[in-house]
Amino acid sequence: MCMVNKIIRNPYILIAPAIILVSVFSLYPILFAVRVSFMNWDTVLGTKEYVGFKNYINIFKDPVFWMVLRNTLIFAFFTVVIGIVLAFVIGIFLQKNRLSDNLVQSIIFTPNILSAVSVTVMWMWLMDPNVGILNFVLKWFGLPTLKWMMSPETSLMSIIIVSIWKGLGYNVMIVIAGLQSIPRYIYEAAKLDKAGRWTTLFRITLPLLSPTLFFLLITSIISSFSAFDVVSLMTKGGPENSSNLIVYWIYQIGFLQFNIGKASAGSILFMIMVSIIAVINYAFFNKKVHYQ
Amino acid sequence: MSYAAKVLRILLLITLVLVFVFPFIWMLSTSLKTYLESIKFPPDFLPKAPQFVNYSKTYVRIHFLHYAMNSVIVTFSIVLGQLLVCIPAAYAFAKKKFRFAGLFFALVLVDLVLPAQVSFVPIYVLVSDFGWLDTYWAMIIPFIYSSFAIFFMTQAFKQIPDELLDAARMDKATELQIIVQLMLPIAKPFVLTAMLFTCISKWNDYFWPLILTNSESVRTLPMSVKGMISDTPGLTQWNELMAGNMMLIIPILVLYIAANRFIKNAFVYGIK
Amino acid sequence: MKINLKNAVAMGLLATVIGVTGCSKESPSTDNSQDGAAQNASAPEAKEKVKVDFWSIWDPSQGNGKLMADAVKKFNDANPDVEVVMSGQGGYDGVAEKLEAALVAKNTPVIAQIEESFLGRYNPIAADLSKYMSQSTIDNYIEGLTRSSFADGVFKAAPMNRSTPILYMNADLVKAAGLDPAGPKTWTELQEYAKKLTDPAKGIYGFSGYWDSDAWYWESAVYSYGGEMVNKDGSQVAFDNEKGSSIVKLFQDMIKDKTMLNAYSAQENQSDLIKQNFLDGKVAMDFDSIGSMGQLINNTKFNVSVAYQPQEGGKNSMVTGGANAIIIDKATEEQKKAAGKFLDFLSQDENVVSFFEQTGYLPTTKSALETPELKKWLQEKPQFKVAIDQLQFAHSRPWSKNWKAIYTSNVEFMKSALIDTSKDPKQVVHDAAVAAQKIIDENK
Repeated sequence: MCMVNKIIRNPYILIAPAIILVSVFSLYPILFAVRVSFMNWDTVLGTKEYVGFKNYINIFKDPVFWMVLRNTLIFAFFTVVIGIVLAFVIGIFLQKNRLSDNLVQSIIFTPNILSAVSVTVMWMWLMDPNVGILNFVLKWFGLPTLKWMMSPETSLMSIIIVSIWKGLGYNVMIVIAGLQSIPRYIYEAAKLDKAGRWTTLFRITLPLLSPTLFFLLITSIISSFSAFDVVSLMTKGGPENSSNLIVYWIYQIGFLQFNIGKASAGSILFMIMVSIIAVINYAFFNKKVHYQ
Repeated sequence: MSYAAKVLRILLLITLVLVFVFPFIWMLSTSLKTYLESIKFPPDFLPKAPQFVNYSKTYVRIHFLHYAMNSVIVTFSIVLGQLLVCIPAAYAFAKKKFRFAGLFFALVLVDLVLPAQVSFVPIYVLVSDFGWLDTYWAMIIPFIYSSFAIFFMTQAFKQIPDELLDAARMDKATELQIIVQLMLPIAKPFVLTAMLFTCISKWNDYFWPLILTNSESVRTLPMSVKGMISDTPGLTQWNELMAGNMMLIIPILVLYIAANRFIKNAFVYGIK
Repeated sequence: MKINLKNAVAMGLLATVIGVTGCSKESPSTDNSQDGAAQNASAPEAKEKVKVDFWSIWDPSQGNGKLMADAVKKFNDANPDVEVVMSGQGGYDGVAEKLEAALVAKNTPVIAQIEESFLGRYNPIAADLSKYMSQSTIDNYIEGLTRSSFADGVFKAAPMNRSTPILYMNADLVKAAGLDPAGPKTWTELQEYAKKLTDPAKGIYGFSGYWDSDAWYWESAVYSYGGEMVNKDGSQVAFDNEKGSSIVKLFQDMIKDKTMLNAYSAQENQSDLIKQNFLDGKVAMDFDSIGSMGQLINNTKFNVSVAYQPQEGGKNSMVTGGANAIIIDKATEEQKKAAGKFLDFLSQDENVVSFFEQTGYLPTTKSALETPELKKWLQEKPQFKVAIDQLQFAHSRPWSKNWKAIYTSNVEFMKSALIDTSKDPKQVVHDAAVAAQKIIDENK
């Protein structure tokens, strides 16, 4: 037991398995992509040649890349902000272990479990320009109807809505896990001090929840930048690339155009971009996060 | 609670249910329709007569038991593996001070920014070189660590006051006891949440098993269900496909509901 | 702190489960009895079996894949020295994606089932099949199905599951309207037929069609106007002209005068939408794949007749689709021979006939058409005969290694012209051509 204790006390041994695995299955693929990004590689002919920064230059010269980048930024901003604010509000409402709360929380969570196909089919139907329920609701409010995923003006908005909807249950669950870990005695103490509801919310709940919200922020940003399924299943990036996002675009270059060099260069740019955004957030918010 | 707040709460709950319950009802209803009803547009909400036979047909068609068994083996192995790999790492990152901790932490998180669509070619090459293609290893080993779980649990462990740990050490608790009997019970909602997410994503994963296996002997349930989608557009039997999807999600739905109760009942700060 | 029994038990359980799953991993391929694909080449026979990996678009446990898996088993039983191992790779795209990874990892399969038009890309790694298959088999394929199988005169892709678009008609409605039951010969005639068949009072549209996810029907129609997709060597886009845009204009016009049901007015799966309306008697003519025949005949209360795909300018011409088999040249000589033998086997009359009857994909060989069984079958279901006869007019698919990227781009443009019918078809097709040319130039 003493031996075990000694081993476990050593932090390097504690992190070793994770570090080894991440090196093999994440770091290696990244290094692989870095190397390929400087190549012109025809996999069928088996010919490779180093071409320097040509793949990167081609990407920067490609107007579709800039369009996709813009789409991705818009997509990420709205899904992250709306997704977290809604999750916080709903989490506060549903945190008790009442039957109704649990039921509603389970229902919100179902989009994460359901097959992508059934979710897709349902949204196609809800957003149908002629008989869809959403247009029906718009009409009912006297608003003009939309073409949703079928028009370049609204396709990006459509996939933003679907993404928020799909990810909400997941965010709520994390918020609730955070709320559950706030010790009850703190609330009891607040009650004794006759703190009002809003004071409790802003002075106790929010600060104590900040590590959770911070975590949610970072992971939401990263996952919204990496969005793939919603594009691939709902719009295929169309019409006219209006809903194309960066990972789907990289995929298209790699597996429709079979240009593995350019796709790798795109991947590297993508990872640099996401890392920078994540690090900025980390630096900015980590100081404000309140740990007990 | 005030009257207004109560009304607000109920309204919110009803709206949420309306917005989110649809796909589930939709799937269930489609799975009980006849083929002709299933392609009707705009669709009927409910089938005329529920076709429970869709389920028995699908059960046979997708070799449910064989693939479900593989899914169980793969999912549980991954969850166990992640517990063993991620908990010690999260503990070290949250409660130990050591050189290059920040660097190692950044390295561990690198996986978060690496989309599967980008990494699958090199991972396929690796797994192929290891000789793991077509074995359970291929579907388990690359996934037994998770940046998400490590990050999430590190955040959770950080919230546990150092004084508690010091007190335990004064009581001559070993490090193992500290992790198992102190940290884990306190961080239980987080650990359960992280593992639930792992379960869900691995149970439903279609992409990686497809890439890393060729043989039916180790493949998992989502692949068998996906196999029901026809190669020719318009020939898919939607009703049976949805029955297959229901059979795929029910185990995970049950697990979710059970875990959710656990998470909410988690005995917060149980150690006095 | 007291010792938590529950946690101790949990840790114990954990250890046990790891032990158990660890054991079960040792023998991953023993419980495969139900799939028929017997494996583990560990049989203690003196001679090693030649193992032939066969990557299919289908899951071998169900549907069409099950039929293929049964054929594989029959072949393996008859050839004790060979073992074909079929595996499903998730459809046409799945096979292409995994081939890509396999090329990098250098562990390609021996046989790959690829979409007909992908030979333009995989030609460099595809073996000359005439070296490994018998010449009589190759000569026996229906000529119209092999138009995309040759690279520089070398036969490289053996037809497997193949289809072609045809015009389905609600024969009862056609008869009631007093129209020639043989159906329209040209697109102009189709427009007239549709006008007469349309009945707004009953909610009946004369016609409906769509492009499909690879713009297959558009491609087919362009050929029927005498157009082309790309030039011979695939370096230039060739559809930026009247021949490329005529069908788009025709569909737009018919949608505008409400004689055609616009499948793109809804986001729902277009193919299902049209099919459902046809089955309901709300669409009188449907331009669709032969693959839908079984469903349409079996689910209708009226008579279904079929006609060749219409044309314009006097010459029938249309696409074929579906998959061909290639043998990857990197395999060993022994494997390639065994693979050739397997493809020969699949083309035997008995197998061709049963596959056709059960799937609705076209029969691939001439001799199969002469078998009494198939003759009788076609007599009962003469609609299939039309599709088989039509094959004499089959057009080869575009020869371009970038075709997958091009059609993905094309279909977006063609869709947009039907979503917004006020768009100028010439402009849309021109824009599509520019985008396609860019793909070609960037990926030479």
